[in-house]
Amino acid sequence: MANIHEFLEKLKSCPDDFEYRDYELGGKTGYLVTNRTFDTRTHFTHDAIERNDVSSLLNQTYQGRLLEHMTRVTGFFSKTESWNKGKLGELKERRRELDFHS
Amino acid sequence: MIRMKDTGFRGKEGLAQQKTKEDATDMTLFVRTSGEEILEWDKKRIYDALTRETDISDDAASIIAREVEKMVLNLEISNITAPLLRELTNAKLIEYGLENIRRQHTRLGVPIYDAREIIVSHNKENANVPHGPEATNLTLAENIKKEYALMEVFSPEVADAHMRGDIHLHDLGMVDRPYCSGQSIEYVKKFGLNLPNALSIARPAKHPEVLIEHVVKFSAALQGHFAGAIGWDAFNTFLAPYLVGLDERRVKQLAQILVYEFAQQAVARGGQSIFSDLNLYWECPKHFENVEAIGPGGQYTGKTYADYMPEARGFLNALVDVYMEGDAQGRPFFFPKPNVHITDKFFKEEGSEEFLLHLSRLAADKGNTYFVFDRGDTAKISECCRLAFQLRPSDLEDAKQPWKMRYSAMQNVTINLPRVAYDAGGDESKLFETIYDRIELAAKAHLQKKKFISHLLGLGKRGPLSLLAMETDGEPYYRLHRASFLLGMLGLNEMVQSHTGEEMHESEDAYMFGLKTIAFMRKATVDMEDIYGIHMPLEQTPAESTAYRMAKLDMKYYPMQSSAVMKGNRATGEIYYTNSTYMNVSAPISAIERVKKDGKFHPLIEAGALSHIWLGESKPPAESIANFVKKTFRHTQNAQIAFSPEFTSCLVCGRTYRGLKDVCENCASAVLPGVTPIKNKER
Repeated sequence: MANIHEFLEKLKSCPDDFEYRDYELGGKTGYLVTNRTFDTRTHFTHDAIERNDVSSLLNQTYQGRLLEHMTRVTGFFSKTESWNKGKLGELKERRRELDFHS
Repeated sequence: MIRMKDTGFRGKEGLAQQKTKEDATDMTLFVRTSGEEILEWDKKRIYDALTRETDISDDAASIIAREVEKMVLNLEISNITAPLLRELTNAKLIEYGLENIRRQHTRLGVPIYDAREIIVSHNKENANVPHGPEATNLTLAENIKKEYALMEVFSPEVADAHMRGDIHLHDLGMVDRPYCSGQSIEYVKKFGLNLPNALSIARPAKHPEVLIEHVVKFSAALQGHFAGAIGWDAFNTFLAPYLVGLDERRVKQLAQILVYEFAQQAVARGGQSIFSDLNLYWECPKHFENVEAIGPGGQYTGKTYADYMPEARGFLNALVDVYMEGDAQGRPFFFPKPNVHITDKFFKEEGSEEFLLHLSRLAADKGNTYFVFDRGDTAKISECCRLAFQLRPSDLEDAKQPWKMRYSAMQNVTINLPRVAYDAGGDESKLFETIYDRIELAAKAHLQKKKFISHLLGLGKRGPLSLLAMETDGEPYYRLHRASFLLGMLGLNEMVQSHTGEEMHESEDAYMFGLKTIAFMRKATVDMEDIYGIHMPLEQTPAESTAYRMAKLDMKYYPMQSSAVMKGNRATGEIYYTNSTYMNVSAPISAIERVKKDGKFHPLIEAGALSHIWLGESKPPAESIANFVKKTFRHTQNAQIAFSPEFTSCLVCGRTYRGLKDVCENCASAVLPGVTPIKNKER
């Protein structure tokens, strides 16, 4: 049970990022973990927690959403996560040349 | 209320600070000073500060100090901070009508709330500033320098226009440096690294690795003395004499060192990458053909640069390969930007077709390539987001001693064009008069900045800009007489829309009105040159933060007029003005049509213009890009184009995808046994 304890302690230590509760899914007991940043919920059986290390388990809560996005802001490339609101507004409206031909 | 005369200038001589405590009272009041001390109350310190820092008369300073003491005594407190004391003194100065003295006695700084926000949260004004202790140092320092600039460097007329949002003075937080710098590596090759205040001095490099290291370090030193980009002219041409006899593998390795050294300099100032640019040529640029080449050890090799074409080309090909591979995860390198010059001569050169394809493959795949078009006799150094230093006849004379080719933009001032339309209220002559007035205001701002920087440069070796004042080749590194003073524009499209009722892509009339406006601006800058003696070319302001700042200010002060033309999403606050002279970014215009129409503006915009082709997740064939580049060169007046793909990189598995994705398919499907992702009902 060492792993379960470690996993739950980790979740407890980041209350802004995670919450969890006991939860039974499809007849299997375990924990339902909410990742607040990515607004995802993931169910872990006790077995799964025992068999994997904490960082692999936490990675599962992202459900593939822990991403960085990159493109040109004005002249240089940068991560859109660091863009101001105005540039994000522009990014959404940019017309892409999806069918480029000369 | 007593009013004092707010004029009487008093000389500062003989006002040596008196440190003795002759005037101390018996109060048990302590002052927490900004020098990290707790001192006993002494009203003489107020007197001393006033007489040291301001033009106040001795009598008035004594009265103010006494009055402040009276006020503080009545407060029945045992501790007071020096900043609060200063503000209480300022309040007294206002009470006595000494506004000018109060101004001189101002304290700059930030409230603790702001300091906490800055230290803990991420600065999003500039996407090239990551979050970290160095970055927050930069932000805090910039806040103070910004305030300083608006109070001390610029006149109230200019400062107020900036704060209102009529104009934007760029990089105020770096008011004590010029804007951007363009030069050649010849300086480093010839003189080595011998910088003022350096702890050690390096002789001219003998080996290519060492030269690259010198260039990167010199770039970092320059970054500390300029607000913006550091551009290198004809990089591969000038590196070539160091590459004689090296095999392909070694050359590729050198290209890799160069790119990684620049790309990973995020350990530099403010945790920021060096905004670095490499100007690259397939041919030997005409003005360097007969120039004596400098090689290892800073010695002339006895050949000219035209003799090193195989080495220059080999390096350029290797560099494109390195960019093509991207970083360890296949992501594009953000810096250094490769600006490849396409000229008449380019197409006549051996192998240029094949190289253009190579370059186009990179543009399609990673997007790095800037295609810089130099038609006819035009020659320029390109850098920053689109800045260009066009070489004049006298510069081509300097080309014989390429280390002398050092160009700089002192400052950039941008006009908020939509606001001009709101102020003009549909009256065309008022619209142009207002533009002219704001350009004149920008010229004044430039003169004020020029005066300030000249003062700092004048302090020479002991001054803060000693690096720019060094005279290794007989004249100061910073060639003030060759500095340009940029005039930028923001939101031409929204100005035209507000004035004519149509956006530039919606009618020929609206588009022509846009062109007429920029032609008018250009002519006005020529007037300024005659009146004020400064070279003031137009530049398409990149406006990373300005497009947002001005949109917000106009929504506040001109809500009716600006709402009608504002771009973006008002509900989420993601609002912006269209950059510079661009047409609406969402307008359904084909790429070639956009490049053509944008291009008509470009000859008017001497100091840099660029068209974007946003690729999104598509990846066109290299042949299409190459054809497009040729057409753009031959059939338009467009100055520069760049193709921009989008990428998503997964921080868990490290995969890089094309396009902006919400989910990493690899991770989403790699679910561990016993783990179940729950579908969110709302999703």
